[in-house]
Amino acid sequence: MNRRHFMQSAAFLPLLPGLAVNASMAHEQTKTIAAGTAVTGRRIILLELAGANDGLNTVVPWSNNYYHELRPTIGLKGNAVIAVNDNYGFHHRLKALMPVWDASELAVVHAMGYPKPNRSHFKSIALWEAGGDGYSNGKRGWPTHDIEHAYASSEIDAHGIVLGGSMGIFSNGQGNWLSMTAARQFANRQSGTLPDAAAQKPLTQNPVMQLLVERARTLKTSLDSIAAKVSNSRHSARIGGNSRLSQQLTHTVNLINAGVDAPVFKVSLGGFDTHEGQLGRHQRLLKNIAISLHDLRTELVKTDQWKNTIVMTYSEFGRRVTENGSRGTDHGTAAAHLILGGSVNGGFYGTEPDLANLSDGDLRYTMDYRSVYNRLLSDWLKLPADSFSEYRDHRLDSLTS
Amino acid sequence: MFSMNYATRRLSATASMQSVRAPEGRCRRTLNVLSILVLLTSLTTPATAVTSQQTLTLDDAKHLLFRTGFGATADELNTFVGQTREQSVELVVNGFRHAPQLPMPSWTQRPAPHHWARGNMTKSEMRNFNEARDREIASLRVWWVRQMIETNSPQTERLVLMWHNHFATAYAGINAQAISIARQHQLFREYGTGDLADLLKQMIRDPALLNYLDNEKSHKKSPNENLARELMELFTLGEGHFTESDVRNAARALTGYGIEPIHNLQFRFRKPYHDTAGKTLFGQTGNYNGDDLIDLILQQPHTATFIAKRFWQTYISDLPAEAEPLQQLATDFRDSGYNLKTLYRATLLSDAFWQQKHRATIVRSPVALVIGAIRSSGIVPTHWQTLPATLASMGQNLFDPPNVAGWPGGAHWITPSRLLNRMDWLEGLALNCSGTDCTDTTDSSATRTKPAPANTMNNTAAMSANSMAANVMSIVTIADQQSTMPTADSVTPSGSRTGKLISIRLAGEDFDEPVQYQVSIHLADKLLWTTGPTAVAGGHDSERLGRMKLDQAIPWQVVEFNVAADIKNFDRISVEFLNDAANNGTDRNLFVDNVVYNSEHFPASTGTQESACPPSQPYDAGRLYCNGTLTLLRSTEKPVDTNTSQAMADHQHNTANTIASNRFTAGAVYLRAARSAKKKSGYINFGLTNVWLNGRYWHTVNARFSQIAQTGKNSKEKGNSATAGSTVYALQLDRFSCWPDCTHNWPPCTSIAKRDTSSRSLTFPLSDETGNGACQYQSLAPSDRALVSTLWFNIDQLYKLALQRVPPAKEQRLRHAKDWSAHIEKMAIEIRESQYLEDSDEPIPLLQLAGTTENVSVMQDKLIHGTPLPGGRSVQQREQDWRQLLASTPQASLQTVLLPTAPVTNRHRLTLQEVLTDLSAQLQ
Repeated sequence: MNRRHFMQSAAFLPLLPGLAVNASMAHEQTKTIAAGTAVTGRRIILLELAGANDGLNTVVPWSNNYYHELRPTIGLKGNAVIAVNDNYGFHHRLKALMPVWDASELAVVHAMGYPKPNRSHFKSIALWEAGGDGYSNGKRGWPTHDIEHAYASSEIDAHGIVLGGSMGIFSNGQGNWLSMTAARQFANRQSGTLPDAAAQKPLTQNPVMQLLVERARTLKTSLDSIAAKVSNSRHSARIGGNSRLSQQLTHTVNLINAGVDAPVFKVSLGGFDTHEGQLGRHQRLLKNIAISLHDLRTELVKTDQWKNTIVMTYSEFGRRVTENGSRGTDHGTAAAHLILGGSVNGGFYGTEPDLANLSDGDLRYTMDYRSVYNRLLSDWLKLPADSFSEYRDHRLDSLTS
Repeated sequence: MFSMNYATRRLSATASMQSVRAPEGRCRRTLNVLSILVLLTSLTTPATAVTSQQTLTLDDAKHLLFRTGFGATADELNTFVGQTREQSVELVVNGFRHAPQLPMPSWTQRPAPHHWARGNMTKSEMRNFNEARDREIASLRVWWVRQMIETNSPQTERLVLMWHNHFATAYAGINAQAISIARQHQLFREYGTGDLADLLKQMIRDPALLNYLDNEKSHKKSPNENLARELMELFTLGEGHFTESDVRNAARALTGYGIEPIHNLQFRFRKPYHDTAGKTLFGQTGNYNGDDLIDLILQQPHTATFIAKRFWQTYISDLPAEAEPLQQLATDFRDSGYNLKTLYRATLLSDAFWQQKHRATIVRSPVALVIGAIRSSGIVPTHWQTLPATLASMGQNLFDPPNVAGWPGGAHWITPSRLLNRMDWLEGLALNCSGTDCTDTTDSSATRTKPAPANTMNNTAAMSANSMAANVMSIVTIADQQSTMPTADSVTPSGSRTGKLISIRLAGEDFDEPVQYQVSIHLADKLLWTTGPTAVAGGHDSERLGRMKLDQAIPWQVVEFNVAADIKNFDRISVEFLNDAANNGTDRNLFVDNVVYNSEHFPASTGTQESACPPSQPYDAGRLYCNGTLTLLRSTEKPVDTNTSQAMADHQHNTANTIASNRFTAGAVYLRAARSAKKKSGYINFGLTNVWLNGRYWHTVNARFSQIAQTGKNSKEKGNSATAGSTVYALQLDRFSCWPDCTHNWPPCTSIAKRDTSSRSLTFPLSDETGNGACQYQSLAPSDRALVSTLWFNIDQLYKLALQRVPPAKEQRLRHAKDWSAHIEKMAIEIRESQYLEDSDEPIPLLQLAGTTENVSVMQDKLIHGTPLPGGRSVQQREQDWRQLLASTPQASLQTVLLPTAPVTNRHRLTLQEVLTDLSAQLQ
C-alpha cells in the first residue's frame, strides 16, 4: 500500500456509504489496502481464436496413426508439419513462430478443456470467459475479481483493454475495463461535455451525481492518459500478418510501448469455424497469427517489454477428431493452446490426449484450462487473491520464470 | 443445481463480509453522523399536511413522473403541472390497473407445457422443448417492453418491476418454466397494490419462487431452508432481525409447500410432507404453517421498516434512507395493516420524496434509462423488438435477475463498460439509429457527432417559444418518420393488408456489415415469390460487441413481408443466407427461428440446411454459419392441432362438430414412474398429454395402475377373512391426477386420506366388484365412467406406447416397468370380463396418438406488429401535447423536460443528442 492510495481510499469512504451499492466498492478499496503486493508492469495478452480453432491441425500429432486414419484428407503430413519431436509438430504455416520456439519462449499446453463440455459457440466461449464448466457458469469475467482487488483504478491506466471481440472476459467487472472501440467514441463525444478532470471542483452536493461524474472522470482520465501517452510515444509498431489481428496487435504494442499500464489486453481473430474446406482457410489464419505474433515479439523486445508480456491463445473448444464429409471439422472439445512470452519456459506442458480413447468421437481434456488461469494470475501477475487456486496443477510449475 | 450455486455465493458473501469488517465500522460511524444531521433537519421540516397542498411546478411534475414511471411525456406533464401533491398522487394511484393494457402473449393463458414429460424426451425433443420455452420468455420480454413504452399507467409497470426485483426469480434458474414466470408476473399485477399479507401469502405459494428457492420438495424429514431464509432476509425482515433458529423453524412451517407438475404446474400443499409439530418462531411457539409464519413475520416491526426501505430505494433515493422519515413511513404502513397503497401514498407525499437534496439521486436502471428516453423523446428505435437484448447488454435481462437478491443497481449500473454502453445507446437513439446503422464505421460516427455541438454553441440567439417549438418538432418529426414509414426491410401495413403476410423470426450476427438474406416461396422448380436480397437490420454487431454470448442474448426479431398475391399452392419456403464472411478473421451468421405464412407455421428446427457447413444436429438447421439455404417443406397433411388453447377453444365453442364422438386420442403417452410388480405394492404410472375422449378434453391424465391388497381398507364386510397377501390390480385416480380434474364430482364414497383430508382418491379394482371401488365407479357421471373404462380397456396399449417412448439413453427407466409385462397381459384379458366393459353401451375406443406440437410456440402475436406509440400518443397527439406544454409552461425545453437536473455540460442550448448524452441523463 502506498500513502497516496490510502488517502484516496479514505477520502472516498464518507461519500461512498451513501449509495446502497457501495458496500462492494468500499470492500474493493479495503482489499486493495490489505493486499497490494502485485507486480505492476506485467501483462497478459489474450488472443481469442473465435469460431473454435482446430488444435490437432495446429499442434499436430504427426506420427500418430489414429490421427491419419481419422483425418484421411485434412490430416497433415510430410512437409505440412514442422516436427519438433517424435510425436508432435507445428502446422507448417506457423513457420514464423519457429524462432520463438527455438528461443524456448513458446509453450504448448495439451488438450485444454473443462468437464462436461458444451458444443455451442456462445455457451462455451462464455464459460471460458467466466471460468465456468458444464456444471456451473461462472459469474464474472475470469480476471476481473483478482485484478480489481490488486489494483485501484488510480494506480493503472485501465484494469483491462479489449481491442477486438467480446467484452465477455470483463463481464460484471466493477473496475476500469475498457473497450477501445467504444472508448474512442466516448472520448470524442465527451471531450466537451465532461468536466475537466484537473480544474473542476465538484459541481454539486449530490453524492450520486458526484459518483457519476467521478466515474466518468476516471474513465475520461484513463482515456485521456492513454491518448496522451500514445500521442507522446515515439514508438510506432509495425505488425504484419495482414488481418484484423495485425491491426489489433499494432494498437496493443503501441499502447504498451507508450507506457500504458494495464494488466490485461485482449485481441481476437475470427474465422476458425472450419466446417468445410478447412485446409486452405485454416492455413491462412495460422500464417497470419504466426507472423503477427512474431512481429509482436520483435517490437516488444525493442522496448524490453517482451519479458513482461505473456500471450495466451484460447477458443470455444477444439474440433472433432474425425473429419466430416466437407473436408472440414465439426465442433469438438479439448484443444492445445499456445503460451508465449519473454519469461515463458518453452516446451510442451500437460498430457498428450489419447486419440485411441475418445469420448463420443472427441478428445478427453487432459488439462483444465483454469489451471492455466491460476498460473497467470498467481505466478505471473503475482496477484494476492487467486480465484482459481483450486485448479493449481503441478504440471505447470515451470511455465514461467 | 441452483441451490448449490447459491450456497457457494452465500459462502463467498460471508467470507467477503468478514474481510470488510473494518470499513463497515467506518460506515456505521458515518451513518450515525448522518442520522444526527437528519434528526436535526427533520425538526425544522414543515408538516406534511401543509406541503401536500403545494402545487407542482414543471420540475416537481417531472420529478414525480421520473420516479414513479419512465421519463415524462409532454402529455403527462400537461396533466400533472399545477396539481397539488395530493391530487397528483391520487391521479397516480387511481391509474393503477391490474390487467395490462396490451394483452399478454397468448401462451401465458394456456395450461402449462408438459414439463413433467422431460424425463422421457430424447435429446433433440428436449432441445426443441426448451427452445420453445426460451421463445416464450423472449416474447414475454418483448411484450413487457412494449407495454412499458405504450401504457398510460407507467406507474403500474414501475411498481411491478419493483416487485420483480424484490422477489427476484430468474427464468434461468427454474428449468425453463416460462409459464411460471408469466404467472408470477400476473401475481405482481394483481396483488402488488393490495395488502402485503396477501402478497406474501401468494408468494409462498408461487410455483416460480417455490421452484427457484428449492421448496417444492421440502419434506418434514429434511426441510430445505432456502425459501425460509430468503423470505426473512430478502423479502421481509432483513439480515439481523431473525435468528438461525427462526430460519430452521420457518423452513419447517413451509414444508409441503410444493408444485404439482401434472396439475398444470400449480401450487400444491402436500400435507404428508408438512411438519405439524410445534415450532418456535420469534419467541412464540405453536403449530405454525406458512400463513401463520407470514402473520408472525408481519408482527415484527422491522418488516414494515424493511419494506418501507425498499420503497425508499425505489422512489426516493439511492442514498441510505434517513432514519426518522423512514420510520414514519414504516409506522404509517404498519398502522394501515400493511396496505401497500398506503405506503405508496405515504412515500410520495413524504417531504423526503420532494426534497431537493433527494432529486436526481437515483441511477437509472437500464429499463428506466431506455424506456424513459423513448417515452420522453417520442423516438422509438426502428428495431425496438431487440430492446430486451439491449437491456440485457446493460445488465438488466428482464425475468433473469442475477440472483435472488435482485439487481444490485445504483453504482453497479454505471461501471465503466456499462456507462460506455449506455452513452452509446442514447447517442444512437438521438441519431435515430441502432445496431449496425450507428456503428457501420467508427470514423463516420465521430464526424457525425462533432459538428453538432459547434453549431449550436455559436447560435446564441435568444430562445423564443417558436425556436423551442421548432426544436421540439424536430423530435416529433423524427418520431413521425418512425411510425409512418415502413422500415427498409419490412412492409408492415397494419390495417391495410392486401396479400398475405409472411413473417420470419430471425437474428443476425453482423461483422463489417449486416447479414443479407432472402425468403422465397416455391412450387417444385418454380419460384413463386421472393423478397430479393434483404439486410437484417438491428443485428448483433459482433465486431464491436463480440460474438453473442448466450442464446438468450440473441437479438431475435420478427420481420414481416407482404406477399402481394395470395399464394396457396406451394410446397416449400426457403431462406437463403447470402453474404457469409468467414475469411480473414471475420464471422457473419444468420439465425432463423421460424417462418409463418398465412397462419401456417414452419419451425426452422424441422427444416433442412444445405450449406458448406451443415449443422451437426439436424434440429440446428436454422443456424446458418456459412452461405446456404434453409428449406422448410410444407407438410403434406395438416397436423392435428393439439395445441391446447386452440383445442380448448374448439372444445368450448364447437364440441359437437369438431370432435368426433367415440374417439380417444392423446398427444403422447409417457412412462412416469414404476415400482416393480414383484414388490408388494408395485405400480406403474402412465402420463397422457392432451387427451380427448368423446369430445371431452384433459390437458394431462396420470393413470396409475397398481397392486393393492385385496382387502380394501374400507370394505369391512370382507374384513380380514380374505387370503393374506393376495392382491388385486387397480386403477387409481386422485385429485391431482388430471388437469382439469378427472371427474366432474367426487362421489360420496370417495376415499379421503386420514393424513390429508384435502386429498381425495378413487380406486377402481379390476376384480373386486362389491367393495368401495364399485361404489365409486357406479356413482360417477357417465362421461367420468367413460374415462375409467377407457383407460382400463387401453391398458396394454398404454404400456406399449409408454415403453416405446423411453429414449434409448434413458433405458434404466425401464427396469421396473419391464417387470409389468406379464401382469399387463393378464390385466388386458381380465378387463374384458369386468364391470368396466360390461356397463358400456357403446364400444370403447382404442387410443390413437395425435402427436405433440407443444414445442411449437408461435410468437407472432399481435404485439410485434407496427411500432409502439410512446405513452400511447400518436404523432399528432404528441405534437399537440408539446404545443400545449410550451404554451402553458414557458420554462419547458428539451433539457428541462428530459434531464432531471441542470445539465452537467455548461452550454446553454443543447441538441437532442447532447441532452441525451449529458451525464445527468443517467440519473433520475
